[in-house]
Amino acid sequence: MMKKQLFLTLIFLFPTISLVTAKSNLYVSVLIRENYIVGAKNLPTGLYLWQGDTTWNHIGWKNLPIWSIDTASENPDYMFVAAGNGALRTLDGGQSWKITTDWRVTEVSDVSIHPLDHHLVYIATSYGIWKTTDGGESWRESNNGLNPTFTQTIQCDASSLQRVIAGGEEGLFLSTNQGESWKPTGPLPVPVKDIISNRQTPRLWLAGTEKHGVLISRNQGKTWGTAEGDIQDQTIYKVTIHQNNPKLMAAGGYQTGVFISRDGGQTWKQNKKGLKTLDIHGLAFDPNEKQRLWIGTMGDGVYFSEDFGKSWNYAGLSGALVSDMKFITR
Amino acid sequence: MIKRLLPLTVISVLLMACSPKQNQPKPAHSIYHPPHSAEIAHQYQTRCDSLIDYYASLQNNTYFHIAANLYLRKNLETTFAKLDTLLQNPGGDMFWMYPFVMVSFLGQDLFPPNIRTKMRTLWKTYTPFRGDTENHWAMYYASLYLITQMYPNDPGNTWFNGKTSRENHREAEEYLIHWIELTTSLGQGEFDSPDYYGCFMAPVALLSAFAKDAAMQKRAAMLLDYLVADFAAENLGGFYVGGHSRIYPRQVRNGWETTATAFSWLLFGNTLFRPSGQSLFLAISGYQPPEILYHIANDRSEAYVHKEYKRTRHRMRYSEQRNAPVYKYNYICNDYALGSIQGGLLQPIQQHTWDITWSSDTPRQGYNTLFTLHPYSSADELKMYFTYETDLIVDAIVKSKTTYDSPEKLTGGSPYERAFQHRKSLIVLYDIPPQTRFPHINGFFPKSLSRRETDDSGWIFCQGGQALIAFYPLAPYEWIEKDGYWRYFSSELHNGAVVQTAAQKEFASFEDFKQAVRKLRIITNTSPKPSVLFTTLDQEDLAFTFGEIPSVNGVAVDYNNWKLFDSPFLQATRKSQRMEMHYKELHKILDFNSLTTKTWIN
Repeated sequence: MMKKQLFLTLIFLFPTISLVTAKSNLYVSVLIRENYIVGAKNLPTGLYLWQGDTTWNHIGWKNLPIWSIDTASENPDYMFVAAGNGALRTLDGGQSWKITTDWRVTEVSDVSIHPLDHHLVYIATSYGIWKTTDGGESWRESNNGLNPTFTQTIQCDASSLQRVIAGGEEGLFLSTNQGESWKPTGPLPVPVKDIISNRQTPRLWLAGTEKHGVLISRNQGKTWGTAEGDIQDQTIYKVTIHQNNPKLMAAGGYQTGVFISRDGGQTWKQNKKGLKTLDIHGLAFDPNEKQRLWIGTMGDGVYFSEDFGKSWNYAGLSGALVSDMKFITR
Repeated sequence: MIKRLLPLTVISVLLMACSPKQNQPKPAHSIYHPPHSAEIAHQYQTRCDSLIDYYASLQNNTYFHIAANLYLRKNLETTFAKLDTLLQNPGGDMFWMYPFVMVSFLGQDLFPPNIRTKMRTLWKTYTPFRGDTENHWAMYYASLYLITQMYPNDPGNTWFNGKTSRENHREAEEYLIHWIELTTSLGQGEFDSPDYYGCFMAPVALLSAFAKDAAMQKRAAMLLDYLVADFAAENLGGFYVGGHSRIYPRQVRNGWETTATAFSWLLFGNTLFRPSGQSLFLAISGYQPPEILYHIANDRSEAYVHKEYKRTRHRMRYSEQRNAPVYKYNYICNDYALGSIQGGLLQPIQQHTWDITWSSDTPRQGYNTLFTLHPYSSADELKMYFTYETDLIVDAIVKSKTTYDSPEKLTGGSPYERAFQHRKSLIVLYDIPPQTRFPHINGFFPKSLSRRETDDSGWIFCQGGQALIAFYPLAPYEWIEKDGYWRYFSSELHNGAVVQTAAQKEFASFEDFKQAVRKLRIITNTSPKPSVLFTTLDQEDLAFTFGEIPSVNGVAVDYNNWKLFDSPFLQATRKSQRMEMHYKELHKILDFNSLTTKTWIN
């Protein structure tokens, strides 16, 4: 255990990529569902890295349903994915992977590495929340106060080691003691599909819900309001906030196309034109191009827009059901 | 058809007091002449040998074909060449793992170095997914346990999942022990599936054959007996009878096409030859079924009631119980079996709640069964067991389970269906809300029925093989002709049926059976809830209202004390991890607490 801790620490002290030439790379997790059943022939599911235009490189397992990706802010080679068979970790930017969980953990929907301590990682699973404090060397259940335990999304508070918010079948749950106990928060006991916060403005949080649109908190998740307009009764699978401009937000879900807000969530405009499928399950603002928004669709691959959704550019992965997308800065 | 009389409880008492005793059926007996003990063992070995020879002589290229040749040590050069080809394109996750492990052990002293190296390398370069079902995990962890036993000291970077041999071995061992404890305490979640039976038998056979650890080897050998006993007691001429957790649409019509019949041929010799790769592995494993199980599977000279307790698959939401109880009930005689589970949602997609299956002289043709169901289709059901998005989950499931969202489907459970069985009689009730996706019930009446007569009394009289079936609908219905069967269709939302069965030998003629059934007292009601009072051919009074505990002769059915196994052949209490087998003077006990067995002859 001590050796592994030391190894992880060294990796963080000496990251393999120089930050001087920092560039953000786009990773997406893909579920090719067409004809997919467990035990069928190998299909190119799993993690992809964008190479430009419509070209993508596959990374790691080829037959793994991955639902979420997260990385340590200070070391892009340290990454976790939430997958059907557990929480997988790479220490070398995806060249090799380890399933860090065991038989007790399955159907992992989301993973969140704490930005202030990469050893502290939470996973949301269909049977509850698990956490590790040693970078995945050991895991334990962390469900005290969580009812029901089905959890789909989890997000660490970038400003506090103690705070973490989870979303499940009956709403949002807040922990202020590193997941040791949970209390309901938020206005509605509705299924929550995604939670996001902004590191630059840590008081601002968004949550996507089933049939209740987007929930917004401007006080670090203590109280929540509901986004108004056409978005308010939609099922929202993913929400995102621009890294450097917290007034710029996006949301997408079942048959929604993309909702974009340019005023910090006060108003939302729906964009459907030019999209073959309106089911959106991946969203990311491009750190390299300040106005570029990427989306991952459920069945028609990846697109990006540079005009706030007025037009879309196809970026490949035809037929793919994208479950998550994330920029990782090198 | 619908009689509105006195309150049901009052009627129940009256019926008990004045039930007619005439027209009682004659007892159903048949003669059982088993071979001698040595002959039973010899015949089993002969079937094993012939199955292995069959696979060895195939001209295809599968791990099963290769395993058979390695076992026989025949055609080795050709076998290595074929194996080399297979190694170039691994696929199938846990369905790849267990045959690969079998081949690895059978050939470990035979393989040339290049094959050996390639086989080891695949465990790093191929990434088998663990899957999401009980059968997936049984195959995955049994394989992982054995292959890490073969390579006990390798580091994590030589394995697909990054874990060391020791980590993988320990995890596999923990899961397998957990699974076996759960199975022998509360039953399987994927219980009694004719299609998936082999997916449990094959990996357990591997463990039994190759586990070095004496405790694990013993545990696996005992579990084989346990799983074989579970099937033996619900076996009718090779068919796995009664309610099932999982069965496919084609197989629910033709039970011959399941892997269970392949195992029945091999283990019990009570049906025609049917090859399966999974039963091949049992044959290769060296497993010798105890003689008592041969008799339990074959002796139908006396009719018997066999009850079991099972559990649902793990529920992730919409349920207060992670594993809800399943109550199985079977009446089995030489000519047919009537079997059921209590209804409701007990397993996603492929549940089979009740049927009558009759003995057939032409088992390969199947279509020797009759049943009804409500074709329920809902994201709510699927979300209990799967994590996918609500609005997309039905479409995702239909990709592989193509009939799930079909109004004509013949498999699946429903929250609007309840079944209650007592011996040869069954009452199935439906209370379907109007807004449900498919507001009707389906029934499967095969054209192989030698009789299907609609009677003025309201009964439908049928005969399948030597089984006589009386079916009393609670609501109007129609027949829709389909390929090979008549689809019984009723769009009445408060619905149900009473089923009375008998063996042909119990009556002098079909007309006598009809006459006897017509005289039975039956009182049905469909409002506000479907409800039935029925006096059976055995002169027992059954009362059942949708959503309530049924009763027999005024006594409520005791589900609280329902045993894990309860029949003349098998006895086990819940959470006991212990099973008793009894057949005449033969007895055997499996005790998983102490990992001991006891066999004796009285």
